[in-house]
Amino acid sequence: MSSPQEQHIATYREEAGELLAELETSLLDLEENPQDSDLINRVFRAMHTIKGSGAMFGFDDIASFTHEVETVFDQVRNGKMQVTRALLDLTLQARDQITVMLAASAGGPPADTGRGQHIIEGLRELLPAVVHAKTTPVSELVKASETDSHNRTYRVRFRPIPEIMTTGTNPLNLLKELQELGTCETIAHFDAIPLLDQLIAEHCFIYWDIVLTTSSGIEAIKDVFIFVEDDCDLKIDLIDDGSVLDSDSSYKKLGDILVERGDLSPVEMHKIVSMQKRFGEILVEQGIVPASKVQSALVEQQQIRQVRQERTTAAPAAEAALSIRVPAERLDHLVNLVGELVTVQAHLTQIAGNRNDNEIISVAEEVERLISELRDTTLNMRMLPIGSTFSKFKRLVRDLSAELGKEIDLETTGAETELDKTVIEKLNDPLVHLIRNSIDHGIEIPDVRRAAGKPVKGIVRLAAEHSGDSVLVTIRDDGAGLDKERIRAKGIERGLITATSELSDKDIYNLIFAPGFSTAQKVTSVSGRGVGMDVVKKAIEALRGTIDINSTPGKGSLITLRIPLTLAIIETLLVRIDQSYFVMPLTMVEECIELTRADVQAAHGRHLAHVRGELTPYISLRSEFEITQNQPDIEQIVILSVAGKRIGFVVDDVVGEHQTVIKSLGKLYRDVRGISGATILGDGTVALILDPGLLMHSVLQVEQEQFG
Amino acid sequence: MAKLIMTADDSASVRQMVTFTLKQNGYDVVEAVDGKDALTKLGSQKVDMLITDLNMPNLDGIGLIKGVRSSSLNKFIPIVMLTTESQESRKLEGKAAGATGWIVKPFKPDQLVAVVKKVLG
Amino acid sequence: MSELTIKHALSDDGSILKISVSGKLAIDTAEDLKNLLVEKSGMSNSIQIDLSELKELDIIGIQLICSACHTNLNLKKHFNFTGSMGQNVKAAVAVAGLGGKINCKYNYDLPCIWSGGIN
Repeated sequence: MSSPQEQHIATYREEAGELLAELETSLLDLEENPQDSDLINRVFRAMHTIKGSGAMFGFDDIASFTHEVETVFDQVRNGKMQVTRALLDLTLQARDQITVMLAASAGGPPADTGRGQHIIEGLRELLPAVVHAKTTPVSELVKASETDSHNRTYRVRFRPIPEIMTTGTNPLNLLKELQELGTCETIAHFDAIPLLDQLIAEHCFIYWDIVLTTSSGIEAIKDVFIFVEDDCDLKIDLIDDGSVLDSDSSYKKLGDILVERGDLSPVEMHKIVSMQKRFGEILVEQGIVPASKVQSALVEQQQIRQVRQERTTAAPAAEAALSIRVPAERLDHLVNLVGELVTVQAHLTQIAGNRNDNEIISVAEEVERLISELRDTTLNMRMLPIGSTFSKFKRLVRDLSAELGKEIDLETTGAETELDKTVIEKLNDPLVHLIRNSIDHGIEIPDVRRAAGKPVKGIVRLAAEHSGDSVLVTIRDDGAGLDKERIRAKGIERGLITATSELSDKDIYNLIFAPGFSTAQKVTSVSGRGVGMDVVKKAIEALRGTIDINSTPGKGSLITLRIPLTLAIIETLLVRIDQSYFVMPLTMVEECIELTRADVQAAHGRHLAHVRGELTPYISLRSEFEITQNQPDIEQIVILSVAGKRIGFVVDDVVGEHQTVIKSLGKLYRDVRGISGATILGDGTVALILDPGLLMHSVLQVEQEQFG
Repeated sequence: MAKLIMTADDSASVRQMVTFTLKQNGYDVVEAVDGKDALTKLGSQKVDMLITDLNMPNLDGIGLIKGVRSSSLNKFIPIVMLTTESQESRKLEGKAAGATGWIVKPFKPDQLVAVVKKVLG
Repeated sequence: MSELTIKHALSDDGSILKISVSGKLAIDTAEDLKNLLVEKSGMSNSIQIDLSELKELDIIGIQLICSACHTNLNLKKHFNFTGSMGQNVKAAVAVAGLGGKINCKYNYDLPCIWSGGIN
């Protein structure tokens, strides 16, 4: 069984054969009656069918040859040419040529193309001068291959003529076809529909605004309307070309859209804008633009915004171009509000817990989850890369080293590490000081370095990296390192230590943080102007950070700053002593264990607890804060890791984790050691934020005074 | 229920191809050999669409379109005319007579189906 | 069969004219409904049109209902749908761009009846 295509071809051969026979008869008849228009039409139709059907079934040579003959007879048919003997001769020859070509396609001897060419030239000579065969055999329905994949958004206003449906066009099909091209919002306008008694039922008065986001290109949109382009007002505007650069996700104002669409005049727009109210509402209220048109413009606005937003999330590479500038104070305000929200949420959670109502509890949990997300997002918004600060130090190092006759390079890493904006600001001065110290005291002059076998050029390395909820900022130099003996001597001189004190290296290094301590042999303009390391330490502690020094004689020093990511809100552990509440940074908490009276007695008054065979010192916060009432039989020890040591803090009760919004205590309480701030609990109670590091130090100092 | 489409063409090979293609795609087809035959059949038979050649003996495509549009039974059906690229003026004439759309010859079966889907939905 | 069938009835208390339309409401059939609407709308101050049995709806049909709605609202009468529309009809309404929330100026800028508005 042959394929359908082969069957069509066979039918065509048969049909063409019949047509050629008919053509011969007609031509001969035409010779007798050259004015007979019926005969002329018959000849034309025969040629037309041979050509048209031939092209459809792959007889391209026959089609193009016949086309030439048909062109001539079209002129005859239109009265622009007379039937002449010469024409008939050539046409008969052409008819014979087609017969040969048809036979050749069925396996017969090939047609003489030279002869065919000769016939065509002869026919062309007969044509009136102006007529030339048009050769644009391109099917209009072949879709333009505008297949570049990114989405563009178009606004289409389609307003058919009222009679559109009387010629068989169904606008619904066109709309559906359009909607299938991509993401599409269609808004119908019915303000032109007449009242019932004036309505011509078969006329269409509805028109449409369509906002279409598609990757198919404008040609595809035009193709949808190809049959009706003369039967409608069609306006296609590219309103978003899909390029990442054009990603201002705010898009146009409503008024601008309406003006662009011609639904509103610019003058009217300005008048309305000055009224300071929601633009669309006024337009509708005043009857300037119908509600449906305003809605339609709003739909466009919304769709573009959405498209652009999607693109924003899809193209993180373009992040920089997509950022917006917001005044810092607005962010601060937002953080404050979130802080308040966290406080209120804590209250809600507490109430929900007390009510024991599952419904409220589940709502409270949901709120808690959302607020925690909101908090993280908000705090994230305040994050800036530390790099902006780093770049300032390059200049500092260059100028200072020149002044001191030293050769020093500053290397930085981790410039992209992000920290809270305020933290970065407050970190600036301590960093300047530390770098100055490294340049001044650390790095030797070139001669000394050369003598020590070091590269002449000294290096200061400034690095930042994330470490848990903190950022580690390190300043490392390859200088002489700290001079232990000199620090020790100075410490004794200043009465900070006794001559007999047994101190670890670390303890000695820590002496430089003592107020008024300066070991520089001469006071230079760079460091040693009375602003000592104690100021640096205070500044870092104000950021709830820690500072740590390491040094190797002859190799250099390393100063490590550990800075919390943010100042505003921290995760804490909430504890209680009698009626008072305290919180401590959750990141420091290692574990909680019980402390019974028996344990205390067994330790013979020493503040040491056995934790899995290890002796852990503890501080009783009760005695520290002089709270005497209602001491329970069983207390809790919260074991924290403070500066690498495990130390316990005894409290009555561990309440649980708490999101703490930090409130500063104000100037009056600035020097209270061991308390770094306060926070408000859900029920309005104030809880103090403990600073375990300082607490530990002050306890140690007191003990040293007592026993040392 | 399958939609019924009429193909009016004096070329048997085109009719055959159109009929075959449409049936392949789930349509029912009724054939007419020229304009007169088509108009007669459409006078008593309701169809969903008409595909007509323009050059036909007895009654040509333009006459057929005008006839259908002034009839009652199939007055508003979509009518697609088959034209060739050299018939721009005939195309306009066809549109004026009430044709819905057109297909330029030569065309491939899937182009035919695309146009049918376009006007018939 | 697929052509339009229209039934109308007045509620027992005479307050509501209910028009049930079934089959095909389109360009070749809409005239009948238009004529009925013109003739019978005066029977009541509240017209309810039931499209639940309608199988086919085109722009002309949609437009006719819009026109009738507008006309009756102008006369301070109620005009709305009753019963739920079939899938085909809903799809046509959506394609026509009436599926979303659209306010109608003839309905005091309240939602259009196609998008669930009341009047």
